[in-house]
Amino acid sequence: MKYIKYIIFSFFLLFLLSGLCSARGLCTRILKEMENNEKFGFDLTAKVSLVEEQKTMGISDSELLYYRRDSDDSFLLVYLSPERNKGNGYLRVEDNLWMYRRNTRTFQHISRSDRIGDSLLSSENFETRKLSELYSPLMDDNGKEIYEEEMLGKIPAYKFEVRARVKDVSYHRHIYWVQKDNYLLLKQESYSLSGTLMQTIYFTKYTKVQDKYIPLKFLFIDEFEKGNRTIGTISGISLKNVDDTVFTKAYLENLSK
Amino acid sequence: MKFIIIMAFRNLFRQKGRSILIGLGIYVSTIFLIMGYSFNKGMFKNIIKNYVDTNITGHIKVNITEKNSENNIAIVRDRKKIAYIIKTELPDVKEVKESLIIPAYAMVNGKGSRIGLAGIQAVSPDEIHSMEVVEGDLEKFFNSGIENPLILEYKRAKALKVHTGDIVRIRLSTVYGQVQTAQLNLVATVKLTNVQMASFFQGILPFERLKEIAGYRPYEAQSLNIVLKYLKESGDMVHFADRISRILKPAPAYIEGEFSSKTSENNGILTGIQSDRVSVEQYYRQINLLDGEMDLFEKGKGKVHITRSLAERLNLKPGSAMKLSYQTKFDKKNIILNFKVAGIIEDPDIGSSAAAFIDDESFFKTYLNDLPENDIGIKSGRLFNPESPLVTCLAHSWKLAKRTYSANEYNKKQREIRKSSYIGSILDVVTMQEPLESVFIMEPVQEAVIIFIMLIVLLIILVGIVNTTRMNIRERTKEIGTVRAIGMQRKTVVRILIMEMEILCVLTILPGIFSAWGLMELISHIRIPSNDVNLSTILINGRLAFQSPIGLIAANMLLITLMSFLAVYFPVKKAVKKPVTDALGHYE
Repeated sequence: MKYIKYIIFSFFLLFLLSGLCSARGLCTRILKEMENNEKFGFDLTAKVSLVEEQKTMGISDSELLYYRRDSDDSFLLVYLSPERNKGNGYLRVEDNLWMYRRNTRTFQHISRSDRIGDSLLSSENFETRKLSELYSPLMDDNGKEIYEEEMLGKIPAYKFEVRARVKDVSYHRHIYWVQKDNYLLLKQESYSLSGTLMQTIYFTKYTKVQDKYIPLKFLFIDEFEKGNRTIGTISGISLKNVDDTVFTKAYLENLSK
Repeated sequence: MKFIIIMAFRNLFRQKGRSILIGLGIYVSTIFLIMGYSFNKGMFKNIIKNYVDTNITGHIKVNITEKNSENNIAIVRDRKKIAYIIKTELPDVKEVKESLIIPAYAMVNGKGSRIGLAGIQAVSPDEIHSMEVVEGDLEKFFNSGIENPLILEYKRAKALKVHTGDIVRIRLSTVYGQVQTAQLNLVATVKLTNVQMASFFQGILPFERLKEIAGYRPYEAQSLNIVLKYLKESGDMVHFADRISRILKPAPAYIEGEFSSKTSENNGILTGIQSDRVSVEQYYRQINLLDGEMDLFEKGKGKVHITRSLAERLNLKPGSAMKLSYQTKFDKKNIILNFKVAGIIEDPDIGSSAAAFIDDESFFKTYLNDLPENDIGIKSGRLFNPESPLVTCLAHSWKLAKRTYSANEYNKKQREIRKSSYIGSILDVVTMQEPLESVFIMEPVQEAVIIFIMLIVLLIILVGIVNTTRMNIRERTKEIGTVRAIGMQRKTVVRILIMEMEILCVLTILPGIFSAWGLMELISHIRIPSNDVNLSTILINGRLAFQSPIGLIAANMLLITLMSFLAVYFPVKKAVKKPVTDALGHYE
C-alpha cells in the first residue's frame, strides 16, 4: 500500500514536471538556444561575399568586411568591392545605425530593416537578435506550443511558427526549420503583416567556433518579387579583438580616403 | 461746375479723333495693369491652392515624430485632440485634415515600380478633382464591394503595363516598420491635371483603407494639415503657424491607474523621467531617497521609484514587485504593467502623493502606444504643481520643435530631430513655405519683375498720352486765347481742360476694368493643354486663374487718373499763362 502511494505520488510529480516543461516548451527553448548562439562572447572579423541575382539588373558580386563587437552589439560593414560601392558602409553603435556614402561623405540614419546595398540582406541580419523578447511561438487552444517534425532534405528538423510580440520588427511572422540535434536554423520563411510570404532564407553551411555556430553559406530568396535572390558566403573569420576605434564614424570615413 | 462739365463734354466730342486716341491709351493701360497684377496674384494663389486642395500639405502642417532608442515614426496619436485645440483657439482655421502619403513598391505582371500612395477622403466622384479618367470608372472607387480599389496615374500604369481590372500587389512598411503587403484592384487610370499631385503620389486609395494598411489606428494620423479660412498674403501663414506653435504647449504626461501589490491596491499616477543628462541630474537632486537605489537608468530600465505614501499604502519595499492597471482612452482596453521597486522617495510636491517614477523610454512605450483615459492634452497640467522644479524633468506629452522660417532652417531642424536622442514625441509646426521655399521665394521676385515691366509699359503709354495732350493743348492755344479774350478766367480754362481729361479717364477706365475682368474670365475658361511641369504648376485643372483684389483696381484707377491729371495740368498751366494777344497770334 505504502509503495502504491509512492508510485501515485511519483506519477503526480512527473505530470507536474511535464506540465512545467510544456509551459516553457520546446519552441521557446529553441528560440533561447538560437539567441544564445548569436551571443558570441568574442569579437569577430570576417569577409562577406554576396552574389545578388536580380531579375531586372542581372547578377552582381560584392564583398564586404564585417567587424563585430559582441559586448555591446556594435558592428561595422564596409564595402570592398565593386568599385562603385567601395568605401560605403554601415555602422551600428549602441542604438544608432548609420549608412555611410563615400561619394557624398555623409552619414544617414537608417532603420534595421533597410537593405544592404542591392542585396536582400538587411542590417538586422548582422545584429544579435533578442528572439525570445521579439517573438513567441504559436500555441494551440490548450496553450501548448505547436511544432512539427520534418525532414528538410536529409536533415531531421523541427518546424514551428513564431509571431511578433512587439510592433517594431520587420516581419510579423516567421516559420523556422531548425536542426533537431543542435537547434541550428536551417530555413526561415518570413511573412508580412497580412500573411504574404515575403522571403525565404536557407542556411546551408555552418562552422563551429569556440562552441558557437557561425553560418558560412546562406541563400536569401525574394518571394514577393520572384527572381531576386542573394547568395552569401562568410570567410576569413578571425576572432582577434577588434579595436574600439573601428566602431566609429571617423574610422569608416578614413577607410574611404 | 455744370458749365465746366458741359464745356468739357462739348470739347471731347468736338475733337473725336484725339479723344479716342487718348482714351484708347488709358483703356489699354487699365487692362494691362489689372491683368498683369491679377495674373501674378492668381498664379501664387493657384500654387497654394493646388497644394492645399490635394491635401499634400495644408497652409500649415503639424508633424509629430515619435522617437525611441531605435526608431523615428511619424504619428499623431490623438488627432482629434490636436484638431480640437487648434480649432477652439483659432477661429480663422477652416479645417484640420489628416494627411497620408505612403511610399510603396508595386508589383504587377512581373514588373515592379516604386509608387507613392495617397489616401483620399472623397465619398463620391464629384468630390474627386484634378483628375481626368483615361481608363476605367471612378464610380467603382466608391463601390464598397470592391476591396482596396486603386486609382493609378496613367503614366505609371503604362510603365507597369497594367489595365483596369488587374490586381496590383504592393509592399510597404507600416508606421512601425513592419513589412506589409496588400492586393489592390485597379479601377481607373487617370491623368492628374495637378502637377503637384503627380510629383508626390501616383496611386490613390480610400483614405481609411490606406490608413489601416499602413498600421494607423482610426484615432491616429500620419500628420495634420491646417487650412486657413482666409489668406490675404502667403506671409500670413507664418503668423498663424507662430500662433499655433504657442497654443500647442506640452503638458506633463502621466498615467492615472490602480497600483497593486500582493496585499493591497491604491490609485496613483505613473510618470516618466526625461533621460537627458540635465533632467536626470535635476531629478536626482530634487528627490529625497529614503530607501533602495537611486539609479533608474544605468543598470537596466523598467524599475520605478515610488513615493513614501504609495509604499506605505501598498506595503512595498525596494525589490518588491508591483502592478499598475489602467484603461486606455480609445480602445477601452485594460492594460496591466509589472514593475520592480528600485527605491522609495519622500512625497514630492507635484500634486499627487501616490506616484511612481520610471525612465522615459519604458514610460512612453506604454503611454504612447496605449494612451491612458486621463490623457486630456494641454489641460493635464492640472495634476502637477507647475511651480515644482521636479515637473520640468518629467516626461511631457510632446516637446515643441523650434519654429523655422526658411528651407535651410527647416532642413537643419529635420536633421536635428532625426539625430536627437530625445525619447518621446517632438511636435513641429511648419508652414507650406518652409519645405516649398523654392516655389515661394519666387513670389516677391516675380511680383517685382511684373510690376517693373508694367510700369515701363505704362510709362510708354503715358508718354504717348502726355505728348498727345500737349499737342492737343498747343493746337488749342488760339482757342484758349479766344475764350480768354471774351472774358473766361484762367482757372476756368484750366478746370475745363482738366475736366475733359478726367471725364475721358472715367469713360475709359471703367470699360477697361470690365474688359479686363471679361478677358480674365474668358482666358480662365480656356483649357491649356500642357504636359509641361512648370506650366502646369500655375494651372488649376489646366486653366489659368486670376486674382484681382478691389483695392488693387481702385489703386490702378487712382494712379491712371493722377498721371492723366499731371499730363494735362502742366501744359495747360503754361498755355493759360500766355498773354491773350500772344495766344491769339499763335499759329501751328
